[in-house]
Amino acid sequence: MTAGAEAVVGGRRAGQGGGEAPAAEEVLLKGCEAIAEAAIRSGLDAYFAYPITPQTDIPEYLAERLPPLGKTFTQANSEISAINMVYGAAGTGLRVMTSSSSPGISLKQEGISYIAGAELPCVIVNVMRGGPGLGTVYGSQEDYWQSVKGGGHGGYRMPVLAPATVQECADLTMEVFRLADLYRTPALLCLDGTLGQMWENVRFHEPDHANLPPKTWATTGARGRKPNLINSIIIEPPELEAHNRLLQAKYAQMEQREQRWEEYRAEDADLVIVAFGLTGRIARSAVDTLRSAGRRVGLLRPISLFPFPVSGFRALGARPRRWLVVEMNAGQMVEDVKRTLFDLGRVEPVTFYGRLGGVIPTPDEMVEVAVKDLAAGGAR
Amino acid sequence: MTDALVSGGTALLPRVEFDAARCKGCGLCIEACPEHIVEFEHVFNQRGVQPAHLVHDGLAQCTACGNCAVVCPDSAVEVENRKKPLKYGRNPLRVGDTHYCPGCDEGTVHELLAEVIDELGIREVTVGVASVGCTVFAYRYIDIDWHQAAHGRATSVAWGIECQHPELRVFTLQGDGDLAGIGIGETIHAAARGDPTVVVFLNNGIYGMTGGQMAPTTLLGQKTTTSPAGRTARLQGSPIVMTEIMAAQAGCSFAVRTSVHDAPAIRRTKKYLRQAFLNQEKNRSLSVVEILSACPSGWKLEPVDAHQYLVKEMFPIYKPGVIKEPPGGMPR
Ligand SMILES: Cc1ncc(C[n+]2csc(CCOP(=O)(O)OP(=O)(O)O)c2C)c(N)n1
Ligand code: SF4
Ligand code: SF4
Repeated sequence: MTAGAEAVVGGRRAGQGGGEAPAAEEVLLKGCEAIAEAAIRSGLDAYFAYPITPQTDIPEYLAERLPPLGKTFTQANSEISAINMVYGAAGTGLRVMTSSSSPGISLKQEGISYIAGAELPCVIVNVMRGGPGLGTVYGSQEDYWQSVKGGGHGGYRMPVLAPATVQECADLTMEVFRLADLYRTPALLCLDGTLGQMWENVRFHEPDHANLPPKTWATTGARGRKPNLINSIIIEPPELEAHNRLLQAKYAQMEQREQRWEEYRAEDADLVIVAFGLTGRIARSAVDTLRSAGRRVGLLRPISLFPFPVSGFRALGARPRRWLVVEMNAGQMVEDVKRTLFDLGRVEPVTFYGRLGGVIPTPDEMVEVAVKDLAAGGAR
Repeated sequence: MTDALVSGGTALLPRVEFDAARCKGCGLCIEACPEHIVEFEHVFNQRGVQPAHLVHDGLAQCTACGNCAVVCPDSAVEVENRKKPLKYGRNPLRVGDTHYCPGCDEGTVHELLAEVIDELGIREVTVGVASVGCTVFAYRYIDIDWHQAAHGRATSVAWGIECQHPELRVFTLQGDGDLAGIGIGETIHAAARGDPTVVVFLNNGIYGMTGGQMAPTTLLGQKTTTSPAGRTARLQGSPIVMTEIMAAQAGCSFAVRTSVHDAPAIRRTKKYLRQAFLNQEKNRSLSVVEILSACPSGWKLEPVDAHQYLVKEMFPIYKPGVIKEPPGGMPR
């Protein structure tokens, strides 16, 4: 965690099992490489993907590392094919991952929906780039809606974790594997392309994968048991409704147990910036600048985008304040922020600031917007 | 099962049992019987069809050839030759009653797969991949582990299953829309990679499940709901001859085209399916068995007429026979 002395990490800490274990050595890696390495250390059995910038460092890393370990690396003929290989492999009980960037993730959506319907665990990594269409290879956060609202058909949800540092890329990869197995669900690690390409020191901890349920449903051949079936077709509406109710109960459970966020100097803040991923990290610098200028500004950084960290907002207490949401899109998470504040009975101004198409907001821009916002609220 | 009583007489007479409840009244057994001793009953069963049975005193003429049992798509007939240890009928791995239309060849293929898996003793290591099309519920009918795959993606799912499980014997069951239409990329790449999958390709030249639309394999001139004037090369392109394309890939070691339109063809197809599973074990690369299949509903033909259409119209374009022999010759 990069969180400094004043930072509070809410909810479960990210994949830091065995905190007493001797600290691992630091290595310098790109965000994408840290994800790939963390996946291997999480026991990755099979990885399927198709090249696309800016995530190609993941398949390139794994192409080198997996085969000598006796594990599967397959460059599929398309993202569609890759996600369906994931479906097959996950159904046999393997630890499985695929990764892509925005257009490729769009192609995977039907497969993700099948995986959610059939309740199979797997990890999907989206190293987001600017869109729509072919857009740009530069990082963005334009896939927030697609990620958290169920990008494919059929009303499913899945855990979505958003790292802000290379260290978090590693930690949250391990964590997202745990969530996938625990809830028998596809789980998404979602970061923007810039973080994927960023070099930083990282330490790998042992994954906290104890007490995960056995995969008795896996199709390993019907020996000494009834046949197992991996399936998402349930033709009779009442039966499909019952299945959907179970899925919804699972999502409700995730909402109860799996919220994660980082709070930074926000307790006494008149203005709280809400930002995730890379934007959250930049907002942190803006907060420091504003604090040195005597402005009471803090940060709330959602780490789990689904479930949305409602508890992080609640934990800030009843103190009245203003809210500034910053994203690298035209305003997507801001809807969840407004809904959350509404649900908490807060009627406070929410301002949005966004950069689009792969443009990264600078700390200075955020400082300027924050100062204006404070002024609008009557503060000097 | 009234016929069981009729057949119960002398020990040397064959035992022939028609399961009236299961019969869909397609009439294929009547057509297949060389002695002409099978007919429809006068009474109706719960399905509302007149089931087939042996004519009165028919058993005396029965040679126990087993044809009626072999051609029944619903495995509703059992024949036992009491002079030799020969038995035709439903394999224990072939479970449940199918949702297939009367006379649909897809049911026949299920029976063959069940028999081959059983006879090779690979039930406990076999995983089937059902696809999207009329075979979507295949998992209900063969008593093994199954995956149900998205439309066109069965071969990718198969590779996912087998990539870390060399002990598993994986096969796909795919229609022509699935394999040659939406999934053509997956199909060719599976053949190129040489995945150790047995691809069972049911080519009925039509989109059966969605109600008889044009498929990539629809014949020129063939009328479907989306080529109501008949398919023309200029407007809709020409049929894709898929198994040859697969055979052209180095990773495909066995490719054959066959049919199940009559008893000899069914027996041949069973042999090919067996060889495909043997090849899977021996050469660890892709095997494809294309089975030209009648879709009486989609073609709007009676089951018996559909088989005649298949032979007359499909065979010239989709020539039956071995397209690629495995290295080292046909498996035994
Ligand atoms: C992605 C997607 N597109 C379309 C469909 C609708 N669909 C279901 S079955 C089918 C046709 C299947 O035809 P074929 O593969 O030839 O098999 P058959 O039904 O003839 O056995 C189609 C288009 C679907 N389920 N999924
Ligand atoms: S082949 Fe089978 S389903 Fe068809 S009429 Fe004969 S017994 Fe009935
Ligand atoms: S529509 Fe055609 S392929 Fe489908 S079950 Fe009926 S006869 Fe068979």
